[in-house]
Amino acid sequence: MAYGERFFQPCLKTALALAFVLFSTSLAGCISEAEAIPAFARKYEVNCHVCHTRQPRLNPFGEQFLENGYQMPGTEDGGIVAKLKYGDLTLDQVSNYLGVLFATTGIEHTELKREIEGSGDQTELGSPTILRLFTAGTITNNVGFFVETTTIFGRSSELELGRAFVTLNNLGGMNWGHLRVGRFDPSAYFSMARGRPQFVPIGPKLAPPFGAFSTPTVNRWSLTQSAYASKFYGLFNRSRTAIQPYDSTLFNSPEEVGIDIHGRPFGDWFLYQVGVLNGGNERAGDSNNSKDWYVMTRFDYAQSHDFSANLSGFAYFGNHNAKVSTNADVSRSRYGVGARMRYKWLDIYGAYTIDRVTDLPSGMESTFDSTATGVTVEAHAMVTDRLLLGTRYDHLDAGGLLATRKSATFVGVQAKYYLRSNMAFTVRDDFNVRNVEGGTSAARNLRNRFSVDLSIVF
Amino acid sequence: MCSQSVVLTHRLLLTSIFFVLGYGVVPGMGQLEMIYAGTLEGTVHYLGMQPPSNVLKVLKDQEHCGAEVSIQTVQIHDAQGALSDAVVSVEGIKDVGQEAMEMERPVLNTRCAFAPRIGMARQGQELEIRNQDPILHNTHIKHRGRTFLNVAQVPGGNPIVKRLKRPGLHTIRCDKHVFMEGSLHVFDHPYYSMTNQTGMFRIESIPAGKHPIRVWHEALGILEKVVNVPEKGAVQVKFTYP
Amino acid sequence: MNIFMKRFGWALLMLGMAQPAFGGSEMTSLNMVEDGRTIYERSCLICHGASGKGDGPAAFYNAAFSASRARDFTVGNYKFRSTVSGSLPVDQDLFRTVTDGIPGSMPSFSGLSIEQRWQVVAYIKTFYSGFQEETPESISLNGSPIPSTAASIQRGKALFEEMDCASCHGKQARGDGSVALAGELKDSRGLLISPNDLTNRTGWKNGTTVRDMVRTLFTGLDGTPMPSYESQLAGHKEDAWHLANYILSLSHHE
Repeated sequence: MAYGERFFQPCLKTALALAFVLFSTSLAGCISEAEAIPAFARKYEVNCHVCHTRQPRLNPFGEQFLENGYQMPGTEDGGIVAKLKYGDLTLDQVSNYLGVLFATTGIEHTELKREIEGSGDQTELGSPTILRLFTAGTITNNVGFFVETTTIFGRSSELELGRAFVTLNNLGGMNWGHLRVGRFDPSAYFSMARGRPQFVPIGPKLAPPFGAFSTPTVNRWSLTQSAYASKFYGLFNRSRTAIQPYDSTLFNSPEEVGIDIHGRPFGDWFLYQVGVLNGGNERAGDSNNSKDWYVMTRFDYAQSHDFSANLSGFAYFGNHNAKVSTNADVSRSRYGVGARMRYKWLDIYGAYTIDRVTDLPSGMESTFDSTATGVTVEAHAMVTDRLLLGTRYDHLDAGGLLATRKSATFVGVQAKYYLRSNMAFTVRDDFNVRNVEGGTSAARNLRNRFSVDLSIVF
Repeated sequence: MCSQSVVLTHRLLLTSIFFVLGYGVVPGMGQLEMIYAGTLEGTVHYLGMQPPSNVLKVLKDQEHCGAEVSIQTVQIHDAQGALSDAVVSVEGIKDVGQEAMEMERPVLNTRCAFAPRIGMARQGQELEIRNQDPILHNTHIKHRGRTFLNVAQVPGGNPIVKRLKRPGLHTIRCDKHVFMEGSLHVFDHPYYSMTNQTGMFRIESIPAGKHPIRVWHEALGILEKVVNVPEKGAVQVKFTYP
Repeated sequence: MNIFMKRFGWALLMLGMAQPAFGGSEMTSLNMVEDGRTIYERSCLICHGASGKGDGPAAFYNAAFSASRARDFTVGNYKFRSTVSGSLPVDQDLFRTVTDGIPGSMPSFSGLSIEQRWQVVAYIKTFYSGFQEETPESISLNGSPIPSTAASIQRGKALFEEMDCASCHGKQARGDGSVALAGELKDSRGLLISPNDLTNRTGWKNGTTVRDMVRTLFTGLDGTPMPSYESQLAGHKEDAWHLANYILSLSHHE
């Protein structure tokens, strides 16, 4: 009987959760925090799937459109094709340059271990709600731009500038070199681009204080891609605020200021990318006069029926791009490989990275693990014409201060129901594989997170 | 068949004249082979159970087509399983160079069906399509995935004529009435026939020699046999499904 | 191989230029196909595939569950033509599609120069041998546009009913006819296909002018259920224009 009860309870819980998922998914549809730019679909008068498998994932055509600086592959169309023009301006086509993403988390339930003071299970409604505005396109042949701003209501409610850069394309010949200048996401062309997961990064919940060289208490671990996370405990950026181990950084930062160039001079099978960044997660200026630089190569197999795959590797060399609590500069570098495979509606992608901290002040070597690794694998498949099921595995083998460092392993499952191609409902659950382990670390405190989100791009 | 024989005789005569004049040697054996021609006779039977008719709901033009249609593709006519509407043809044979005659029967849209449902024609013949129904039909003919013709015909609309340029199976559909199906077999030679209600077929004037004979049936598929066609007289062959 | 062919083509072209009397134009056309191939592999292959079968790595996503997927150039089935049903398109038809694109499915490639577009047309034609055997001809559109008067539109409306356009396109021409709603309309790949909403011109795939509409009525769209009405409209010279006037009157367009 006792056994029966024990068995029955989790079973009922699972069944209820499943019923809720099914109920929610049957209600309506929508998108996630997509990075689809509906303005491009408007401009070229095509549907979303010309470039996307499912937003924000790109299909091979979308990848080449992106690489070519928002121009049709193999052309220098400048995006001003067949459009009404008044002089050099396309005054009546503003909607062709503007895109809006609106996403809201309907319900979010977080189960915490309560081992950190003040933390406990939380259920929130409508938080966060995100409004992101894009303006992007091409000004003339081979000259493009991209600017995004994001407002997260319910947190800071401030307008945040995301990426903002200019592209100069097809330098030296068709597909030889495409230049980006400004604040951009370095990993945009990598096998697993940081900004295009079906599992949207979930932000952390922090408790004050946020002083210089103080590490705020993390109530809820942030669910970002571990392969792209900072991985180290006890690092600070140049403005002396903590770099959390889950923060996306370096090559896989959401945005960094610099210049990079990529191209396919030998045909579709090979892509190179080289870039220089200010580094150090600095939003403006460069207190660190030395630069970070990186190189990425990618090999594509993408000619056969319904199948495409690619494999890429990168090396990112940091140069005094972080600090430890003694105010001494250290250098963080990252080496990684990534792969992606698409077969019809099956989309599998992942990355493995190794991070290293060098130039540690003498005396710290014994208390600081200077190597850390991370792996992220996501897989998705459309099971009907509207329902996308997916799963994600994340493992962070953390480094940094030996006293506080904790590795983290999370598994996520997600069902996304598309009401239309630009609207989706997402039901998602992430759970901590290591939640039986004790301790007050944030990596252990978050046991489970469940959410229902709605998102629209237009 | 009769008119084909006339043409063949005519050609034989010409060939003989050339031969007599000493030209016959130059064209070689191809021409000589034709002098000897036999007849292929046979039957096609189906020994299995007749499948139930496919009953389809009519969604459009019910007042004319009825509420539903019943389609039986396997037409058996006696206890022995005599099968009609099987297309029999001699394969791998060279075109004798005859001119194609006019088509005997056009493809009709009549009572919400194609008549004949299974048709045969010679490459080069002109296909004629008519609509005898008081409703609009479209005749959509495809050949190897390519549209050969997709035409709408209003009641009493003009007949449509198009020359059959390529040999092979042409499928016929009406997109407006999905239950309307048919096929047209186009051959680049005159050696083909269709079984009648006794399951019998007859192909005349086949050049003597071993030829693969092929039977096609809409639902039952394809049967093949190599038959030695004699120089004179007839050879009997029996095909049995399954 | 590719580079070799290209160089070989250039060499031949040079030879052709040196001796224009000896088939210079043929040499140019060889070069044109080779240049077209380079452009095709950069711009078109991703959807239409290396062998032109419409099976490029991105083709599936554009029309996974319903039409229209990237054209299979090896079959010779072309929707947008100026020729009779079952015919191949003339070069100008292919050029028009490359230039204008197809709303919803294919972007405009007017970013390619005019010369490059002709080169790619020349290369596309090599996928299907029928282009060497057949000489497609554009059909006459029975005159020129007639004013869209109330009487013309009225006559067009009567024709819309007579030609039973509503079966597929619906009584209000919103693409919701009974055959369409029953899910019975399929394209040549067996994918579900929706008739166009004739009240919304932005989605018209074969052009939006009255001339484009008459052409579509006459040629039909091969590989789709849309038949040719040429023989039905042939007797009355102006009927096609009345019908087109009526259909255009259903959508408001500046």
